[in-house]
Amino acid sequence: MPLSPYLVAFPHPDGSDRTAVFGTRKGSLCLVPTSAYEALRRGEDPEPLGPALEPLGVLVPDPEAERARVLGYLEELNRLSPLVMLAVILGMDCNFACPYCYEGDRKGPWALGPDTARALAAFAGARLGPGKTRLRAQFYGGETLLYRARLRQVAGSLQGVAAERGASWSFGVVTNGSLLTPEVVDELRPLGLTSAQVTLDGPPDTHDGSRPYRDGRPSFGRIVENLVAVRGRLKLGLGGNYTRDTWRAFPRLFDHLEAAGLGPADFTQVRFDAAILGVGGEAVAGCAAATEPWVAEAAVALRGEILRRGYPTPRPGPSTCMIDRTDAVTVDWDGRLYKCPGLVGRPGFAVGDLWSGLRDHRESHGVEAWRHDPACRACAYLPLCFGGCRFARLEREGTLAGVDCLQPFLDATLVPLLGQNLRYRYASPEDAGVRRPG
Amino acid sequence: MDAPEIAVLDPGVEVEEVAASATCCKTGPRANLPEPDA
Repeated sequence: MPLSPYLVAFPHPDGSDRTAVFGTRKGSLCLVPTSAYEALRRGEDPEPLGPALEPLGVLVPDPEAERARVLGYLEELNRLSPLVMLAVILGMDCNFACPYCYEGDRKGPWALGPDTARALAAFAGARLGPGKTRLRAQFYGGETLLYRARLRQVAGSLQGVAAERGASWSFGVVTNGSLLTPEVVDELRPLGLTSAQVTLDGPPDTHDGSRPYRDGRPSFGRIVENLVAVRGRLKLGLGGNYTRDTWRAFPRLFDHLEAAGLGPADFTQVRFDAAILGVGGEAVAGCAAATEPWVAEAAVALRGEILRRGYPTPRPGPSTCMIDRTDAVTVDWDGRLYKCPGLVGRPGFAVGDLWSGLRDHRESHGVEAWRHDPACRACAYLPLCFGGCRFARLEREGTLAGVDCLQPFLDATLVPLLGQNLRYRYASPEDAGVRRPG
Repeated sequence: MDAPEIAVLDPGVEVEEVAASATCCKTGPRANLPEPDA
């Protein structure tokens, strides 16, 4: 049986005679004796390895059929997805004054009103039905928890419409954490709150400079107090935005968390992203910043530290973007619809509104532009990337058309990231299922 | 000769699991939007 075209293989960093093989379509990872892997590369299969390696997408009956499967991956994913996903901006006021704020000059006293809340519930309800049985919202802003009364109203409406349609309902909040108290969590949980995403930009000396209250007071202490108080009541994700000047300080954040009594079991996800000023003076993050030369070093080093300390962080694997998902949309406070949080408020990038519905965005947003690029179609990274981040493309090239090639970034980072998994996630034999073929 | 040992460290995810996960950003979020329970 031949090897899949969607593989990344590298010698095990421990120096043993094993090759680590990562299947990009499934995000699978296995260790194969190097001599056996070399035989597979030569087209030989002296020991029938198919039963062990075919379920991982490492060996495939037909490489061309595997290519066709990957080319149809997003279509299949949209057909199978039970989700209607909403990212909703409740309002644009904030009690922080982060100098790099992602929302830039869009902040102000604007908020989602009662008419828009009703229209949002009707919009969501219309998208639920056969095959669409889960409604999930992520609320952000501005500072989400400045809008508690509005949040209760909107979440209650969405909960009601989901129940009418026989769908499940839950929501998360993106919050700076300053108002995330047990009382607030307990008030919102009956309305469907399951998770909160909080940001700490490193230890106090970096965080308090980049995420101060509007009056200049430091915020680190209050946020950590709140995290301690609410842990166990909901799932907590921890994010952080680093710069070229601050990323080396981030590991000390874990010392402060641990001094406060917080540890790996208190978070369901920890990840840090690069924040860089983009073309318009607002910050861009993560994939959008992947071309900065220092980012690869920082991304690898900080993920290694997260794992070394025992915290959970996303695994490399297939992932998708809101632009590619047919039932995912960002809703601005005024009811306009966008296909990416990064595009909100940009003239010309709205794809409809709650009252008139979604327009076809496939051409305007470069959906599946990778299909027209022979390099993408031949790339082993395609399932990890599917054309990259369209927002990054817009920031760099001024257009959503075309692809944002992640190959240089993945060339620099993927093997080191997988090596971290080998070192920290699968260090003990009981973490790995050792299988013999046949 | 013994058959070579394959150590399966991660079986990976099927498209159904990715389809059912709530995430809106692929490798890095603006405003840290990926779901902590995605």
